[in-house]
Amino acid sequence: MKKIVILFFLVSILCFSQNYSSIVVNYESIVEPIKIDPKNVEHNDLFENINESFTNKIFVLKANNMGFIFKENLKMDADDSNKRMAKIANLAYSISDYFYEKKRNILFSVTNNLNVISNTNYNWELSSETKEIDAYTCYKATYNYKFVTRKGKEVNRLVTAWYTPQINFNYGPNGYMGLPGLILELEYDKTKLVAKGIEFFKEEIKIDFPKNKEVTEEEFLKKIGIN
Amino acid sequence: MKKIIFSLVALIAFTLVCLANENQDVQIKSKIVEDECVEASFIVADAIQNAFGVSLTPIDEGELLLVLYEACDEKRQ
Repeated sequence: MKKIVILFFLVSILCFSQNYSSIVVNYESIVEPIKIDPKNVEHNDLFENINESFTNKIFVLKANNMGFIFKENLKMDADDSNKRMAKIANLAYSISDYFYEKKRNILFSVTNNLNVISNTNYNWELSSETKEIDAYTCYKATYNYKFVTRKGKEVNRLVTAWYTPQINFNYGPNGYMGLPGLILELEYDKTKLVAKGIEFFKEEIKIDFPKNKEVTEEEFLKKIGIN
Repeated sequence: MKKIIFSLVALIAFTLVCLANENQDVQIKSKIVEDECVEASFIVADAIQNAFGVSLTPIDEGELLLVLYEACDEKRQ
């Protein structure tokens, strides 16, 4: 009897152990649109473009054992003007493209042909609260992101993440990472990113990291003259 | 003969002075145009944040300013 029980557990472990080396996750963006004030016409065209930009906007996270890349899934025929508008819209909601090189533990975004290195030390507060997302049991975690704006205002941004330990990558959308599992839902301010479709690959999918000059966030802000 | 030479020198000097002034005007005009896009970028970035009622991190705002500047720069060319 004992041998049967041990055999059962061994088979279970083999069956449910990770048999994938890469994943591709599509995140749907759910954002609160900018309210258009008919009296204030000066920037309404831009605001309407930003709101329109977020119709069916999908972001993709590709991860393997080397790290990950997170970026918007732009249309193939997007020209420079479209790409620029997409970037403006994303930044309005604090969404950026991110790359993470696991070997060097470096998270960075790319701007103006510079790799701007970001902080990876998120002080997550774990909770026992759970919910199901895409058939995965997810746990809640929060992070109080404190920063000072260009105008000297102190801001405390509450970031809420729902992660699943069932997927063995401690990554997530928009550069957020470091939880004991993949983040399937992320929310802060007016922005929500929710996983809608996860693909698993046995083989390692290719991730290319941009080879630009690396700068810290402080160096980047000094370069553009707002620090 | 002396009068002709003097007139010629005066004409050349006057032409050079006019050219120098024109160059200075072009440089000043360029500076004004550059500043307009920088100023416009800050105005739009502030407008976006005010419309939302939320503040962007310095990095996100920095990236936004750069992209807005590129858009403004492209329009005036």
